[in-house]
Amino acid sequence: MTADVLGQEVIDRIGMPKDAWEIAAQLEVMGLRDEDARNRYAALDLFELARVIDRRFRSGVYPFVVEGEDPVPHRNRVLRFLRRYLAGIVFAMPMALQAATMLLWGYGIWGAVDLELTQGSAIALGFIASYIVAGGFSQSIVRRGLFYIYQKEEVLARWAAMRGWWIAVRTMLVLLVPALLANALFRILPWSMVVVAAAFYAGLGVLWLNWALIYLVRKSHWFVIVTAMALGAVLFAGKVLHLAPIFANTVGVITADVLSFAAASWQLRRIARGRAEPVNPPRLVVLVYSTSRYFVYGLLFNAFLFADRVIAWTTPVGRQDFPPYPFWLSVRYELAMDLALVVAIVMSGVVAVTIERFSEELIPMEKRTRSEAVRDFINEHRDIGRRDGYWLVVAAVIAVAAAVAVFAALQRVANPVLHEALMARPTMAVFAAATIGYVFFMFAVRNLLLLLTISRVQDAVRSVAIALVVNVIAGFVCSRAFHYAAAVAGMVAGSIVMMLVAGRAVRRTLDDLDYHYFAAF
Amino acid sequence: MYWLLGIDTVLRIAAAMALLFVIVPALAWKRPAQLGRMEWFWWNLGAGLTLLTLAGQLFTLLNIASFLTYAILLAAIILFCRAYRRGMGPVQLIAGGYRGVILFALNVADGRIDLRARIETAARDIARRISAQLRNRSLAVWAAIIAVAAVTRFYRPFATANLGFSDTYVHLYLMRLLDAGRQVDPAWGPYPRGMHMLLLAIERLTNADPILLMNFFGAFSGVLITISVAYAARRVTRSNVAAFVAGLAFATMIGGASQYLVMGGSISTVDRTYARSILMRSYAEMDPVNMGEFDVLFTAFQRQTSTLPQELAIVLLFPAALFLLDWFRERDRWRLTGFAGCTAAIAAIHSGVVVPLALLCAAAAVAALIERVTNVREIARIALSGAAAVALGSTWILGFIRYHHAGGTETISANSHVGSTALYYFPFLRPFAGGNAGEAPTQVAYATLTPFLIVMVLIAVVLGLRAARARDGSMVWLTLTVVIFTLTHGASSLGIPEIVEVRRNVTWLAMAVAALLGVTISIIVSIVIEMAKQPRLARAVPAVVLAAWAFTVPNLFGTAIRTQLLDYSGYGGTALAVVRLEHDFQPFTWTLVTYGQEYPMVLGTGFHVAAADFLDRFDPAESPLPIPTPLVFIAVEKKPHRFQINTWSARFDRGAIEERLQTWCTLYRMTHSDMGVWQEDGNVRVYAIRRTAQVMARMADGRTP
Repeated sequence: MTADVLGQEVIDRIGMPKDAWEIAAQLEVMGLRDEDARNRYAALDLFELARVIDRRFRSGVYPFVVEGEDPVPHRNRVLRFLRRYLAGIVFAMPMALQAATMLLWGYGIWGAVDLELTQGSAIALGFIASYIVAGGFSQSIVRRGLFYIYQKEEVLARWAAMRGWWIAVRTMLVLLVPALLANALFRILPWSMVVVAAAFYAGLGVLWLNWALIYLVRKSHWFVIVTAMALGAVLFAGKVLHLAPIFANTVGVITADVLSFAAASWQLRRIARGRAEPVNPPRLVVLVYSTSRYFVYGLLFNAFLFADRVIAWTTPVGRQDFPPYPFWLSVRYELAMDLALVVAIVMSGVVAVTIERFSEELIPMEKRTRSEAVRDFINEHRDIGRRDGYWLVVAAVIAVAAAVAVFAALQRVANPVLHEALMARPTMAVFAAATIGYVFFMFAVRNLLLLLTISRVQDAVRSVAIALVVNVIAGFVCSRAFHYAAAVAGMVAGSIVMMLVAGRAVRRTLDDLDYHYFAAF
Repeated sequence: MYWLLGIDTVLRIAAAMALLFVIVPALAWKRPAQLGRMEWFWWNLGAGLTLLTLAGQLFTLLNIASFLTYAILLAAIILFCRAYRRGMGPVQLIAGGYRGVILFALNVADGRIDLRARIETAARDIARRISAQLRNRSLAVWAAIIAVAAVTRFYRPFATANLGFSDTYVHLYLMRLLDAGRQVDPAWGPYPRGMHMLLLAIERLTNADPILLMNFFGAFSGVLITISVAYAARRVTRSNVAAFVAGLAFATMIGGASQYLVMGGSISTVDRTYARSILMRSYAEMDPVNMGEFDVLFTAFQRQTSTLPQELAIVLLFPAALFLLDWFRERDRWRLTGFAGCTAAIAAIHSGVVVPLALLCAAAAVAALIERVTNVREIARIALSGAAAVALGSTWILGFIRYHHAGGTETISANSHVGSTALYYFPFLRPFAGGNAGEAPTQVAYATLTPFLIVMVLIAVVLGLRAARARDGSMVWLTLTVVIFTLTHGASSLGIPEIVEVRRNVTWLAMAVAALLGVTISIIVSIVIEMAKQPRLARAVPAVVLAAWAFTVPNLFGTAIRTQLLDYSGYGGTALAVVRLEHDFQPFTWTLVTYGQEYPMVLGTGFHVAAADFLDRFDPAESPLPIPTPLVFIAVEKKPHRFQINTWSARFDRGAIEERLQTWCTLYRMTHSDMGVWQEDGNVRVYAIRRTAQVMARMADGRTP
């Protein structure tokens, strides 16, 4: 094969090359080595051969065809923003729905106003444990599944997702054994609490995994449907059958598990078009290794989300309710954190919009850019990032105002227990701190998502790990030295650190965006 | 049930001690070649206690002492030591470890590593190493010593839930304060916290029941003291025979009538003639129950079964001095740090033990001078190092900056708790403080110089002179130790200055005497082998001596010793009731009424009302009883215990209180149907008042049920 035949083959594959580097990369993809360049094409190495092909292409030797850009459907900007914004906050809908039913009828899926505090603490423990443990698996399932879906390998996506789900369920259940042994050995909690915690850990763990499957098939509206139906089951069990709240909640979780799994597996089967087994699926080790960093990321991220609660609920310092056990739910703390979460919900929509726009525009922009104009490409993205940052600041102001408004509105609800809890000093202090903390947290999340979009998962893991350490140390010391509610200081400090570390990683990535673009895709 | 709880607690304490002082050091650092296994253990114990004290002070200051904190501390020790040894940064080490774990896991998942085969190989390897160790005779010697010491020391806590000495209840209270992040009891002032910090670490790491921990930990100190005695004897002679005899002799130094010949008696009085007349009496003429600590050997033994800081500090006395002696010879940094670590730990645990340590160090310096391995300048240098170590261990003194109203008085004086305690322990300070503090120190403690002790001193002198000629520093050190402590023991009787209070001196005197006994027997064995060329005959010598000694050992389980040893400060039945309450009922749902000293036991899990207050405040005819917990337990002593809380005894006679309490319960049962007997033994009856949720709800509303 002559150099021109080879050059034509390269051009046929990549269209219009950006520079000799892209040609060299393609030559390597085609399996050529320096030795081949020397022996077959009389070049010093592959790079020289690439430069020769590039020169001849620029002088018009090779005919080429440029792939047209994907047609961009004309849509109203406001409508597009709204659609993306709503998609961004749809994850919060189940929580909002539960908050509403809790206020109206006293029941959520995994909580009830009349729940005994011992059982409430046990459920809280099960909830947090399941969320943290399932976090890693959920990330792995979604990332691997989406990877195959983007490659049009839907059968493989379904296979990987279901296999991941099954491994996750078994692992989560196996983890109960050391937990129960530790309790037997260290007598941490009474068995009545441990049994409830373990049951809800298993039930909710399965639910989070099912939700990961639903997210994978991009049917987020099912979150709302499943939540509504599970809430219906809880209300039926509690109000009509007069079951004790703990049993009503159990019915709710089981219902949610069954419905969400049915919905997810139906959707997965649909995208796989009925084909059950993939051709030549990856080995287990490959599957595990390829998703391990996402697993760690998910685990750490979810641990970060709940670290402050665990820290606050494991100390008696400043608590007036004499916590008799090492883990004891503080309703005031939880209420304050939930209300401050309004900030995260409001801002998450804006974050979703900016991230989606970034990933949508990155590829066409990169395609349009010549290699010598790479600085423009980078600068343009920096400008976009800055502009998105301003938007996020505006969103933060609105979000804080919304959270304060909800807090104030709830004070007007004619419920003396709620009123007393809202007016308590720890509630107000935690709410104020968490509101600020969630603002930083959402900036951090935006940075993390940017890193994940361009596959800089190791930077994301590093940011979350450092933030988690700061969160735990600051929260632990403050909650023990001053007041249990000061655990929120850990969340605030951790969020600031996460924002800064992830922000630094994003800046570094944007500085070499052209490289990271190629490395990512 | 109590037995099972006891075994559980012993296993927890043993596991924690093994983790802290054996496993973590083994993971962090390879044992230096120049240190033997036992030396390495003492090194780790001294350094570990110092570190735990310093870290514990920081943790409790921030109120962050928890399982997590201690786990991080131990992990950090391992990490930094390993990284230092490998010459890399800790982050690099973590990254390498993480990579290794991931690779291992992937290989296991991929079937490249046969986990089962590896486990089987490891198990076979461990079994081979254990069987090789079992063939080692030293192991049998140490196992026998530990077993006998454990039987004698653990008998008391297993036989009764009472904590032994009343001081132990105070230490439990101090532990409860540490639980709440308070290092100082404002009413008492700062105190050395080494033992408390170790107990805190054990409690946090194992979640051991604090009451049972306090009851059983003291026996561990007793066993460790015995090991240190055997170690000293072995260290001096390099002979297992010496260790065996010394260890078994000390393990069975229990006191009582049959061993009264060893240390004799003691009495505190202002009248020397009266003291002599009392000390001339035979054991049978004494009143063991009401004469307090007259049987000093028994008191020393009893203290080794209770959780007291002095006993834990004593564990490190001999190892510290031997580290010093070896340092004079080897100039080895491990020995120097071993000495510093043990010294700092002693200062951190009990400042009083620093004085005998100083005496032992002086003896070591003299021994080193005789051996001609050091000079006065070096001794001065090492004395400065020792002082620095004492300063490191005495950081608790910083508490005086804030709490200078120690003991409820304006200044730290002879009349304050701190001042009077110091004067009590170190009588030679009394002239400097302008006389004795309070009333008690005006008395002088007199002790008998028994024929047994005189013989041991004579043996020490003979062996010491022989060793001095042979320039055997270790032997000189031990013999000097025996002479110094015996002189301290007889100081009042001999009319020489009393450096340490004689009854506190008894424990280390007994240790030195036991070690010397072991060494003497070992020398006799070698002489017999040399002269008679009969190893079998030589082997019989220690057996005969130990058999003879066995005749003096009292029956630990007999009535005489039981009466003195068990339930010293209160009935076990009451303490057992608290343990059961803790385990059977949800925290803060019950209130316990007792004479008084169970207050620190109940703290943090329930509520306590002293019997005197209870009788004052509550009328048995009142309905409902206005105590806001659904469960109320009242412990009534059928026969009032002899021990009285000093500050109350003037106002409340224990017998009268118990009688009134019984009457109260009888009257209550006549008018209420919710009272029953919950626990009963020969000494204590515990009544339970159980109210239903409805009754409690109505009481909360202020309505009559």
